[in-house]
This record gives sequence, structure tokens and C-alpha cells, in this order.
Amino acid sequence: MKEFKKKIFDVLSKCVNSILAEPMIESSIRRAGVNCDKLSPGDVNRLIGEIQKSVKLFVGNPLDRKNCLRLLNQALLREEANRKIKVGKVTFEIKNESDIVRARSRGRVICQELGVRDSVGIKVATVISELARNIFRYAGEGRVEIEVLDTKPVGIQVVASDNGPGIADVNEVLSGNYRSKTGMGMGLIAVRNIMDEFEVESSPGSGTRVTVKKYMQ
Amino acid sequence: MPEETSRIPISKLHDNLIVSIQGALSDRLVAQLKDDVTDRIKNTKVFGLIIDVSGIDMMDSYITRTIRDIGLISRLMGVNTIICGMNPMIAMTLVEMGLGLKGVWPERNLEEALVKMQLWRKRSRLDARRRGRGRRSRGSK
Ligand SMILES: Nc1ncnc2c1ncn2[C@@H]1O[C@H](COP(=O)(O)OP(=O)(O)OP(=O)(O)O)[C@@H](O)[C@H]1O
Ligand SMILES: [Mg+2]
Repeated sequence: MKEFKKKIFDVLSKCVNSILAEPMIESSIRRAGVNCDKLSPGDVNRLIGEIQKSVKLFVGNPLDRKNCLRLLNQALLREEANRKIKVGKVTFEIKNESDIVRARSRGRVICQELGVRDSVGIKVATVISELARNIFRYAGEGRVEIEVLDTKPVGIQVVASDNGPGIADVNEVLSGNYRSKTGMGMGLIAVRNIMDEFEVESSPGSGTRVTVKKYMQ
Repeated sequence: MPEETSRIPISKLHDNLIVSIQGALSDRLVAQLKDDVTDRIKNTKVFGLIIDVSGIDMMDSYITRTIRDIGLISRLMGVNTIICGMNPMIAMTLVEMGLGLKGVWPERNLEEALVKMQLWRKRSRLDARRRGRGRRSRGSK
């Protein structure tokens, strides 16, 4: 992605001494921990963020600084438009145990492709594992949908649904007082704790649908 | 995703059993591990059990609970358990989920786990000797 570096360089050299521009970019790349040959949308975001930080450090004149930050933002928007994040949905049928592993591994990969921090990928994979296991254990079969949302910041949504027996008292399960016969009874609470949005729709006889969202700061 | 092997290998080093967990585990593999470790402890003379999780892809409530159970079961059979190599982001996720691994001693990596085991081993030998001496001196009275 030499072109992207060049673009940033052009923007920067309009506001800072060009001797400074190069090391500013290089150190930002290092801090952002990105590989310039393979920039994901998340990487671009992070890289620009780091460059803006060093602009704030190195550009003393407030007017120049403001101008420079604005130009960088424009470059970022253009770049985002160029490589619009792949918004889409994948569905995994959960029928047996190995489907749990398949679904969660895919969730992790989707996050990696988006270029978000790996801690987010681990959380998404963990959540998929919990929800898919509940489907397999309590409903026998169902599905997990992983969807990249066109929000700002980018979000990832996981919907786990089944037509199983349903949960009699969702509130009790989520209160922490519920005693599970089959596990710790902590799965859904754990899921709620690490996601940004969490919703359970369930009633006896009509299946269960858990929807969670995580936004990629 | 790599095809999973049918069992998680358990090796023996000095007087310790070492389990190195790699990649993505199905629930069946995790459950199998619990049985295998228990069998090995029953049939082999070991002092400690070290579970190296540095290669694990993630830890959800089921895996966490099983590792904790393995630690508790081993303890009841007289074997100390250490978990090592926990990825910081997995640790963070566990804490945020509200899950813990109480009862299993953590170390940073395999080397440090082995050093710790050795230390415990020495201490338990010393204790045993001390107890032995105490009994003798009481007996001679
Ligand atoms: N998809 C589902 N269909 C029917 N019942 C469900 C479903 N998911 C969860 N439940 C019910 O809700 C309870 C709580 O689920 P949760 O995942 O929080 O804990 P658990 O599965 O019992 O234990 P853990 O996940 O800690 O191993 C379960 O015991 C089960 O009775
Ligand atoms: Mg569960």
C-alpha cells in the first residue's frame, strides 16, 4: 500500500516540514501496529488516528494544525469510500458439536478481516461459542448469523435463534440467582457482560432468539 | 480451521503431567481431557499437573469450568495444578465475563510453571521429613 503512504505524505507535507513528515508516518505505523502492504479498514482508521496524534504533538501553529487534521480526515473519508467495508451476513446452521467451533472460528476471522483489535475478535468468538452451545444443548438445533453492520463505528451483530423449548423465565436467568442443572448458569450473563447490546426474546414453546452487538471502537 | 485431533496429548516431564492445549477445541475434546487427566493421575505417580493454554483460541464458560474442575479433581487426588501461558486478551475477556479460575495457580509460561512445581515439590519433601522426625522423637519418649 505504498500509494496510501504517499497520499498521507502529500497531506502532511502541506502542513509540516517534509523532513518531519516521513518519520511521523513511520512512527505512527509502528504505534498503530499495522502492515502497510495489507491495510484493513480498521487499520486505516487506527493509522490515521496515530498520525493525528503526532500532528497534535509536532504542529505548533494552531491554524496549521487544524488545517492538517482536517486534511487527514478528508483523506480518511476518501479511503473509507474507496474500500467500503464488506457489509454482509453469514449464517451457520448449528446441528452438532463441531458446528459450534466452526461458527466461532469464522466470527474471529471476520473480525480479523475488519482489522479490529484482537480483543474484540476474541470476545465475538467467545459469545458465538456460548450461544451456539446453548442452541445445541437446549434446543437441539438452530442457527447463528454473524453480520457486519454498516454503522459508525463498524458493528458486528450475532443473532442466535432456534425453535426449541424456549426459556421459561429469562429475567431469572439474567438475575444471577438462577441455578443451572447443566452448567454454571453463567453463559448468558457472561455474554451480556462483554457485549455492547444484548437482547433475549424467548418464551416457552416458541423458541429463543438472542441478539448481541459489539462496536469496534 | 485445522482438523482437530481426537485427543489432547498429555506428556510427562520429571514428575509432572503437562497438557498443552492448541487451537480450537470441541466440547467433546475438552470433556475427554478431563477423563484422560484423571486416568493418568490414577495410573502414574506424579506430583503436579501443568496446563499450558498459550495455544488456545478462546476460553468460554465451558472450557473455563472444565479447566477449573480438572484442577479441583486433581487437588483431591493429591496433585497440584498450574495453568500457564494465558493470553492477556483472553484473561481480560474472562474477567469481564465474570468468570474466574479460582483454585488453579497461574504462572506466566511453561518455564515458570516448572520452576514453581519444583519449589512446591521441595517444600513438600521438607514438610514430610519434618513430620517424620516429629513422629520419631515422640515415639522415643
Ligand atoms: N437456546 C435455548 N433454548 C432453551 N433454553 C435455553 C437456551 N439457552 C439457554 N437456555 C436456558 O437458560 C439457562 C441459562 O443459560 P446459560 O447459558 O446462561 O447457562 P447454562 O448454559 O446453564 O450454563 P453455562 O452456559 O454457564 O455453561 C440454561 O440452563 C437453559 O435452561
Ligand atoms: Mg450456556
